[in-house]
Amino acid sequence: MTGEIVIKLSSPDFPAIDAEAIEVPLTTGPEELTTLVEGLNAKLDEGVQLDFLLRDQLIRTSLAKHLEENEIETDVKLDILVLKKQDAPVPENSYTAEDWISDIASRGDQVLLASYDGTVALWDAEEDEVLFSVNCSRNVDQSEPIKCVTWVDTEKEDSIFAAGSMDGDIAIFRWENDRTKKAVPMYSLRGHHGSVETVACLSDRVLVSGGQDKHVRVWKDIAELPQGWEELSAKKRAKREERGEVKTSDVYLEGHSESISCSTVMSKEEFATAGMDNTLRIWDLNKMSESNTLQGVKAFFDIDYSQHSKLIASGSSDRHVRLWDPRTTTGKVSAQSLTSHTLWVATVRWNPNDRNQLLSGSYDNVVKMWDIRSTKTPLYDMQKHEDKVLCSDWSRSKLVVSGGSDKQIHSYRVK
Amino acid sequence: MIEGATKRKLEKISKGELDDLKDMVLKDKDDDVVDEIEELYEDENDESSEDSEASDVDSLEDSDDEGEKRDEFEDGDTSDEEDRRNTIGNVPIEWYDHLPHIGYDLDGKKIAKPIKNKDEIDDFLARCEDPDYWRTITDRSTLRDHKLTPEEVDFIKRLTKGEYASQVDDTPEWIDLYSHEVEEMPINRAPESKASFIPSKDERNKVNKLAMLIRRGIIKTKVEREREAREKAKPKYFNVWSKQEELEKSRSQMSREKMAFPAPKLPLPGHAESYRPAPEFVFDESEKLAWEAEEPEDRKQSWMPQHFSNLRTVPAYADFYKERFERCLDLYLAPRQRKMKMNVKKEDLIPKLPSPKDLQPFPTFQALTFKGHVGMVRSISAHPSGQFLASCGDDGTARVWEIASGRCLRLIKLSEDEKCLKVSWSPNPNLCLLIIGYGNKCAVVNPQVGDKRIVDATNDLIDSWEEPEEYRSRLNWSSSTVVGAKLIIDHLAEVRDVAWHSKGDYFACVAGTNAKTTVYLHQLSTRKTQLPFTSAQKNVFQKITFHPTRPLFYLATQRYVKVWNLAKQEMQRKLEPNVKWVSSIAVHKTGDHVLVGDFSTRLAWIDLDLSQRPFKTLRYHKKAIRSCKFHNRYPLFASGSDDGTIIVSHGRVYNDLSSDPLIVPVKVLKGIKTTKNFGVMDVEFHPNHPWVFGAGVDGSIRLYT
Repeated sequence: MTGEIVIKLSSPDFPAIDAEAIEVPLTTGPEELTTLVEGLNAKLDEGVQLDFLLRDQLIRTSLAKHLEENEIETDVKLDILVLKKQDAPVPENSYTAEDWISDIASRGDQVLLASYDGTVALWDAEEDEVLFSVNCSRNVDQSEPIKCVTWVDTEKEDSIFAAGSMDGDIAIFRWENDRTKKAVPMYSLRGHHGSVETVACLSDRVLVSGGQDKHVRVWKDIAELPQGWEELSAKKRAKREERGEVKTSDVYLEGHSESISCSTVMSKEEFATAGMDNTLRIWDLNKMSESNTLQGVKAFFDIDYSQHSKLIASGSSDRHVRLWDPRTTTGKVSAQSLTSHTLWVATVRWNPNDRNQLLSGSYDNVVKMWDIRSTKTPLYDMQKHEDKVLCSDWSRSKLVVSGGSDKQIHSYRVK
Repeated sequence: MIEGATKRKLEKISKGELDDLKDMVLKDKDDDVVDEIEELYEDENDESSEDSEASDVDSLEDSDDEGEKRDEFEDGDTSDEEDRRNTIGNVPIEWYDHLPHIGYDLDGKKIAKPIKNKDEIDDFLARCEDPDYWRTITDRSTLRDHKLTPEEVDFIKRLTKGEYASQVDDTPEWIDLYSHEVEEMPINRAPESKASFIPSKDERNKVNKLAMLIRRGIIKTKVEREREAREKAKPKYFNVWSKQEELEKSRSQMSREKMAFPAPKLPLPGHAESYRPAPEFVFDESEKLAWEAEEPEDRKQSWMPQHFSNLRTVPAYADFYKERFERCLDLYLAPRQRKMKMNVKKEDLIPKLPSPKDLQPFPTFQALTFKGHVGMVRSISAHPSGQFLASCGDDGTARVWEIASGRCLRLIKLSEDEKCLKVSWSPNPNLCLLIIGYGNKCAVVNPQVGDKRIVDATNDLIDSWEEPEEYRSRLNWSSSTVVGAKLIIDHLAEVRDVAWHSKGDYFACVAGTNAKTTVYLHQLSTRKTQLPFTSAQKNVFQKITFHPTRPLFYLATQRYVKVWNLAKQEMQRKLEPNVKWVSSIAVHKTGDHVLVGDFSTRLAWIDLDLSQRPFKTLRYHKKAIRSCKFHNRYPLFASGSDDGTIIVSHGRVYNDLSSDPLIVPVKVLKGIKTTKNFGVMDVEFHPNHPWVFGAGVDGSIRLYT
């Protein structure tokens, strides 16, 4: 395909390039466009790379190919938005755990690591230091793997986290933000039959969990200390401090026909779960009922909801990262799937600060960073893992953490 | 005068003959003779009129009265004498009405009509006077009057009454031998005839035949016959102006027209054949020599172009008759037949199979590898919940894996030196139990994964068992000392295969060697072992499996699969998969289809509703098939082979009996490395997803999704 096309560049970052329309050959790619911008604006800093956005799609190939793929007509003037390209994530620290890492929950630079040996550790990614490591299994001698971990948002000073284990318990631990102290158990939530695959915290009072028994369980008042803790005898108190107060619940939501594997919080009243039955279900906590069901084609492994783009990203038992709109009944989104992984996608996370950026980790050992405006090509590949990537997280402090079955945790700083 | 001899002769002949004689004489116009005969006739009439005519009818009565007067023709047939008289034969006598004679005698002489000069008055007078007038009739053949004898009158009277012509006693006394009354004793000893109590088959056949003929219209009823006759009697018209096509053609005519084959046309003459061809067509000397040198058969053209200045000078074509003759021979002798050419493309002959794209979902790529086993993985089994996978191998261990992550959760070391050959999860969802066959032993293991309550319930169930008073078991069940295992059953020979019943209480084991095997049926709840088959049945069983719903048991011997009914304790069917050495069997969830793999690359699908032979045999593997499985939810089946591939096929089974199963191979899955002619040792489907596991000889288990 040869010929020329009329483009008009504009940019909020570089006002100087807002010029008249320019005629460029169709073979022009991002590099040529960058040269063009440099020619128009000499003030481009050293090392700054540019991205070009055409009708909400990033240009990654030559203009001709891009127009053909996106079915854009060539006989009109094209407005191209020039953006600064996202910088490559900078690798920071790595940590080798005792066993496979099954889940990660980051808060700032502090990362909770759930492991298959039954422990939850808190790792400070900034200083590469493990603050504490506690065994969350019911029976310490015969530890069951911890499958999921999450921070519980609380207004109190203490940090609280919940860890779901394969033996069906969810352990609530409290940590006094003191580096010299270990976390202490608060509750042991019992109700699930079979392993707990996912926990999510809606607020400091409400925790939802899903697992092998197909039920979504709702736990309330878990951030409060058990009543009468102080009045107990020393022996009983010691026993409780060892394993936490046992709390059972029979409140559960039914809907899934197979094991629930992942969940995500959407608001204080809404959350979504997805499982091996290929469905993604949106639940309303006020009504205690299901509000929407999206039918997928493959078993889900992980979902995440973005507060900015209001979309749910999912990783499932195929090569694609899919995007879902929870407000529709079919979940259709224009850019439906991001394809670059070669094996199952085990984890997806949105950038909590950006509406377009997404992180995905797969069984092909690669963590990829995406801009959802470019569905074929990821922004960056992070290839430090030597085995399956099982979990990842993207904290508000621009820290990207990933862990996997090679027992490694790698952290990156995204600028 | 009439000579004495003649007269004597005349006396002998009866009255009828006399008439003839008289006629003969009349023809001679010898009046004297006529008179004499007349006299004689009169005498005879008086004397023997009573017996002469009725003699054949009533000879018995006459014979007594007039015995002396009887002659040789009296009671015999007199027809040849009549012939002697008149030879006209059986022609109407009216034909001689206008002639003076009434026929010819043997000598060809005319027999004159008797003179009848009676008129109406004479007739009337005779009627009034003659008392015998009423019985006087005219003989039409001789035109003479004949007075009926009383016997003849009686004869006529009887005939008119409808009685017997002769005076036979037609009402003899009736002896009521076989009356309707029931006798106390049988009249005769003969047994009752068979025909009296069995409806006649012959008659029925006859009636059937007639009914069939009437139905087919071969025999026609009277009404039909009449109608047909009426139709036939009507004049038939033809539309002479109709076109030829409208006329109804006979079948042979149509076929002849259809097969009509026009004779091939002769090529049209070209310029060379012209009497005045252009100079370039005329041969020059060298061409001429070359043409003449060639054999007539090899010549390009059979004639030599010649130039004539005008048509007049063209001579007669010498080869004309020869060519015509040859053409006729060609047309007549050359076999020409219309070739029934089938307009079929090669592609159309291949059965239409749906594209694999339309048959999704099925596993397409390798997603996960479960690593850990040292040496061959012999057997794998997926937990009914779809969360765990159990495997066992040559390293004497059994392992339980988490499917989603590929994590080994449990490692059960059963034996140091013996190989674990078979592992199987209990199909009961309320139990967490594994059966592992290793060496001569069979271990019941609770791997303690999944729901804690089920794990505890399983432990309780096994630990709470107490030995009843009259406990007898063929094999020894002992509590296990091996870590993880709950019970150990000691078999007398190597355990080769283990299969659970779908309820999860019974399981069967095959133990033995290549020469002799024994099938044991274990019941978990009572800890009893039975031998369902006596040792007399010397079968070497390769594989066993239970029917998913009915009390049937499938046993694979080396060549056959036997279906044993457990309720009736008998063999129900014997399937002949037409294979050399059965390596594996799998039963579809409906129980109506059996998959049999063998060590010679064949995979036979047997539809039990159709026959005991394979409905389809798939030969896609290059080496021995080790394992085959059906998927419980998706219409899929897979086979793993020593060539290191797993072939996944779509096998849809329809509920209606009219349509056959649809079998389409959809995917060849590779990845498992082969060593020492071993490849895939076992295949297993995920219970809920279209995923397939393959156990490799290299110690890895691969999951394809």
